Amino acid sequence: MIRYIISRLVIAFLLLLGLITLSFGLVSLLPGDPAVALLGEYATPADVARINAQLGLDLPFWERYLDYMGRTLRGDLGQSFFTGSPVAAEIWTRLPNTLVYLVPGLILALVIGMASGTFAAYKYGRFADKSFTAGVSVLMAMPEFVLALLLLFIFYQQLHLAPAPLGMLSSADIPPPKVTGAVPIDAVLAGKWDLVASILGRAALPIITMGLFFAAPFGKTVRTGLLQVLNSPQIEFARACGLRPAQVYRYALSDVRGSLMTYMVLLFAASLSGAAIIESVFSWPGVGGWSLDGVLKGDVPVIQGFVLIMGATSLLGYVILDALITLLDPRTRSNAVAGRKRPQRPETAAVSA
Amino acid sequence: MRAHGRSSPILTAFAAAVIIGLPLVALVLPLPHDPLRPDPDSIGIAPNLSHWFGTDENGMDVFARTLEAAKLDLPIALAATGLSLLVGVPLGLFATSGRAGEALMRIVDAFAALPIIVIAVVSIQLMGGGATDVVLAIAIVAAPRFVRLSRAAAVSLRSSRYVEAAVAIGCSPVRVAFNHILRNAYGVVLVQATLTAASALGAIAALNFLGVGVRPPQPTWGAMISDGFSMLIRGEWWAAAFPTAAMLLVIASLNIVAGAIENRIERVERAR
Repeated sequence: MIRYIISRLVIAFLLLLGLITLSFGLVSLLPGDPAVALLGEYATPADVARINAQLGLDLPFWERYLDYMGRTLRGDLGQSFFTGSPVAAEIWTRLPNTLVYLVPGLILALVIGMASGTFAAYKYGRFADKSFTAGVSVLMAMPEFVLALLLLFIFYQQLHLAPAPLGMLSSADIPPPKVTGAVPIDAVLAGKWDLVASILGRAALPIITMGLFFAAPFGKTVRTGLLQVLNSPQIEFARACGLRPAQVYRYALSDVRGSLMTYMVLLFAASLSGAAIIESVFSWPGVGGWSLDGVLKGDVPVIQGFVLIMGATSLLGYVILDALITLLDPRTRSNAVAGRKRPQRPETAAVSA
Repeated sequence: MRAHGRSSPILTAFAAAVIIGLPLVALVLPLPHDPLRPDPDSIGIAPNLSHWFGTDENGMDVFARTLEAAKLDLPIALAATGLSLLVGVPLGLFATSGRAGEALMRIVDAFAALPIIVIAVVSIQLMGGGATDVVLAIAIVAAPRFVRLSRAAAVSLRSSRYVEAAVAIGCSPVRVAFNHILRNAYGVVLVQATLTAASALGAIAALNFLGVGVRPPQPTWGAMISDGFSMLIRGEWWAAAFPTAAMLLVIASLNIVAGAIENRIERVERAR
């Protein structure tokens, strides 16, 4: 088993190297001069040369590449061209702000998607199923920012239930004493529960936006997957044996578990990119809005750092997913434990019948 | 989406009418107001008989701007879809075997792991930020879908008798790919292209909403929604609501038409 996980980690590390190369190449190979972006259109050639030397941009391509690779692997993502603050530190203080709404939002999406998708599959072809399908179509036609605006209009403007989209802390909130630099963590460490509650209250609409937006495709996947399994011979057999509905459901679920988990990781990757939009609508001080700002200003280290962190997070998600799927599936588990190559999943799903 | 049952013909006809009609209306209809001229005397007016959709914070007519935006949004979405088709389909048709094909598919997989909006924003900013750059960025994001789809079609049709026959009589690989495989798989490609045009509209609007790829005062739906956001928060809903409604109408129409095409393909296949 350990050998299996190590082999996965080695592959992930190689992919990480590829990712670093990509984030380097993305910015280095495309046109656009950072020195000009920094100094403005009317910079003198001498100024441009000075800035280039300062940023190390006058070195040959390979030297810059190796230097970048080395620094990145040591965890140094460089300094912002504009503010001069270290990119890695900026990301670490802002990431908790993003996770405060991202993680509950995704959990909400999973709960809603799972419940409604299952319900629709059990009520196949009836009113509940038809309204579920219609609802999913409507939600999936809506871009994320439209959903956010709609929720804001209803819950803030019309019903006055939600706070204004003005960020994570209100002007009345006293920031907690600085320990880690990340406000939500510091608030918990200082035991300021009223502040935590205020942050969560402001996170409510971002959470609901995320939850609804991702519940639609997930629910659709749950419904499609369950429909296929519920008509399968092994479920018919389980029912014929007189198992209780809950047990039948458990068996049906274990058959679609793999594809659902794969879909969850895809959603996680997509949610990271949706963070930029959510944060710009709600003026949320997280990584998404910050990196978008960096991109718009042409702040190269910020762009590279963000692409790298997001890519690495998705990679980690895929590694964990692969390990979990292997561990949960008895057919692949024994092979993985023995350290052999993972076999292809057999074509016929109806093994137990 | 695998819709069960038949899609309603009235709904489909309505959706098709929207897709064909809206660009025509935007091109032909004389606009009641200049979409680019701010009027300081009429700022933030609610919809009335003179300004059908009201006016925005700069006193520009929302109705005129919503139609004017269609002239920019729809061609960009169409061009991006066309470009990703042109790039993705041939790549997918020929990536069925060999090392290069395998490598291509790994790259396509890697695309799924990247934050898409960020990639689009980065490439648009680095390329300069015009309408053509938006087309390129959306095409880069959408092309992998066509690669995957046409590759799947090529792999499944490769073992069919008529492809075998075409190869046996000495057709060139290009002719086999386009004349035999693509012609028997164009339905799914067409469905995917329609869905891609719909999601491209949403992505373009999201980018413009974030302030990427817009040239003010030229209106786009995303930029108009972004401008109307602060009015919406104050309760003046019209400046954001009408461009949103126009965009959602087109996206929903494209999705409905895609569903109808898919239904038709299924019926034809079942009849065989």
